Amino acid sequence: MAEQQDGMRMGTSFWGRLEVRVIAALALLGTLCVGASAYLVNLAVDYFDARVGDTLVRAQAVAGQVEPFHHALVESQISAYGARTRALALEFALRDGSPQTWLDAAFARESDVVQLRIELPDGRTLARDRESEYPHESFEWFDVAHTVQGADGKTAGTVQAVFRIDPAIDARYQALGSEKRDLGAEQASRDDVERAVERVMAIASGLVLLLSLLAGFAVARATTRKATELSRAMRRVASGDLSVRSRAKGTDELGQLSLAFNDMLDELQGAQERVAYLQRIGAWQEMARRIAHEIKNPLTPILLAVQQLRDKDPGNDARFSAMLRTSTEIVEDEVQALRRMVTSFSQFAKVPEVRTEPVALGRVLDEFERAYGHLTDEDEDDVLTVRRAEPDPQIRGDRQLLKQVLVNLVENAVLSAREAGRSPVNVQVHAEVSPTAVVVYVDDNGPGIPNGRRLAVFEPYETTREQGTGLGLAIVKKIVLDHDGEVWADASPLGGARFAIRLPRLGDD
Amino acid sequence: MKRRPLLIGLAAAPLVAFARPESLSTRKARVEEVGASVLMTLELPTLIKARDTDALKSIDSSFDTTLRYSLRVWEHGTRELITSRVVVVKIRRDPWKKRYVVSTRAEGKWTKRFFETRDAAVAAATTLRRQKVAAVGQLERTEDGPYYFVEVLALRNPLAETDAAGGTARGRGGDRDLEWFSRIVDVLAGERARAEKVVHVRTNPFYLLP
Repeated sequence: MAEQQDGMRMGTSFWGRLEVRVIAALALLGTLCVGASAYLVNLAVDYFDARVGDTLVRAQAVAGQVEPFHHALVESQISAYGARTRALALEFALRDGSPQTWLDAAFARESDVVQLRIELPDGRTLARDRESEYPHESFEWFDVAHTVQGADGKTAGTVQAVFRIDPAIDARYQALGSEKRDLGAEQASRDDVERAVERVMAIASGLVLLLSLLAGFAVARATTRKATELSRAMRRVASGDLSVRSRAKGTDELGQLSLAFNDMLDELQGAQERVAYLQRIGAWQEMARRIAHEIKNPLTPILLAVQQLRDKDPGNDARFSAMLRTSTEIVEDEVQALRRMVTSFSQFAKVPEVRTEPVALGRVLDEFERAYGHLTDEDEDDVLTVRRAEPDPQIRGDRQLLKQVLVNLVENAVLSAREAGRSPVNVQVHAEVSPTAVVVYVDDNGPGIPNGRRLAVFEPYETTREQGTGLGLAIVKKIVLDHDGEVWADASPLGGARFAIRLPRLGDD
Repeated sequence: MKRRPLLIGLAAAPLVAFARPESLSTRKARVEEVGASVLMTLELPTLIKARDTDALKSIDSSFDTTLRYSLRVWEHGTRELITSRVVVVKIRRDPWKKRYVVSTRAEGKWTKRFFETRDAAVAAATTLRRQKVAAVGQLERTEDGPYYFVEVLALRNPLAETDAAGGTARGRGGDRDLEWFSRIVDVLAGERARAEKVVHVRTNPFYLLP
């Protein structure tokens, strides 16, 4: 409900929320960055695509220009094979020796001829071959035949030559063809590849954007949640509720701010309670002063009048004299009781103003022990133990009033324990020191203080003792608060009550 | 999660959705059991169309036109790959003897056929005639035996596979990234980036007679 009221009081729209604005700003920035990157990448892809495209076209053109040269080479090679065969046939027709001799010599000379065959006019065939050297499975062959006539005009024979085609010619051409095909395929698939690159970039950009948005969302949410929590706490404080605390955690600036804010609220709440208590005590002091004044003035005339009555008794009637004596004694006792009460009221009303000075706590404890150790003299078995802190800390305080505090606390402890029938009474006073404060404990083995009354015992006129005025602990608290300290009641390890006084510690320097 | 498996996953996601070979278009093939072999006859005339002037011009220019057939036999409906083999066919005009040559390499051996006309050579090159696709022993022969089909991936002039860094300086960190980037681009670019022409089909189902 409180949260709803806070939200209504804020009156912020969806787009007015800091969290939404931060996330939207991150999204916008991320989109702009990713979009700009994608645009630049696209430009780069287009640029290089155009460059590569031009190169591909030129490379294909170069490859195309080589094709006619290859065909011309093949045709010239075929012509050469034909010419060489015709030359061999003419040489055969003009030979001097036997056909076999010429065949052996010619075949040995023509190293790229796989097979050389001669068909003689009489039908015989002579042949030599290198088929095992150039097998048809591995080499392309090209065969040419030429018939030649002799000088007599008759057929001298037919020469048939089978040539081994140089495999390097075809290999080089096929390698060129392979490159040309790859160029063509690359050219044909350029658009597809470009679109694929753009798709990959779009997917990658989308993923980057998504991740950055998620990260931004997480960071913004963590940050704005702390700010929202602080804002909520501040609104509650502004409405007067000092008990609220910010729940924003963390070690960042907002977390530190939250801690500082909570510390400030602790201080503020403590100061508020202190001021309220002192105001309350001030009012009670004023009332006690008036009551003491109004009661104290008639007490002396009353006491004088009673003494005159007793002095003027002629003593004629023994019964009357006895009654008069008894009555005057009663009146004198009650007047003495009223005087004691008036004295208490006056003491409470006249608690002097604190005048602090640097003082060693041990000195205060020593003076207290010397001056007020008699509190336990009434019963020799009772024990009052005072233990100093080591090393002895320095505080800023009023020695007399601090001793008054200790006296009130120890007196309260002793009287409470005696009223409760504890014997022997055991009261211990000791001090503990922390880097910033000094705590003095007063423990007793009395009846203790119930948990629900541990705050109320410091209110004026709050007492459970028959003879108590309820002013001692109120005076203690006022003096301690005037020293910028604090006092509280607790359970004692001795079984009774523990009163603790925390006072600011002075630095060693 | 490591970067590489993530990239593979992202790249493979669209492939996984369409990876079933049963989803390919069907071409009618004749399947025969001859001896211990299962032979298939399949015509793929779209691989070199009669009006594809660039392809025909390339053949006439005496450059080898390479047709690469990947044959994968699947058991229908199970995604179980039975066997696979590759057949490479080259067709070109022989400028020396003014004829067309169709060379076929199957199971490691080259065989040559010669044709006087280009159309006859193209028809021979684009037809897998009685091509062995599996051994009989690799397929089940029962009364209610499974059906099989052949996935045929035919590439005309497949691009030479180069590394992503253009064949240079492999192994460095940046080049590995480039290699993976290139693979993803290849996947997204599709089959056109792998060859001049791609035909990817499957045959009608067949089974062995019990």
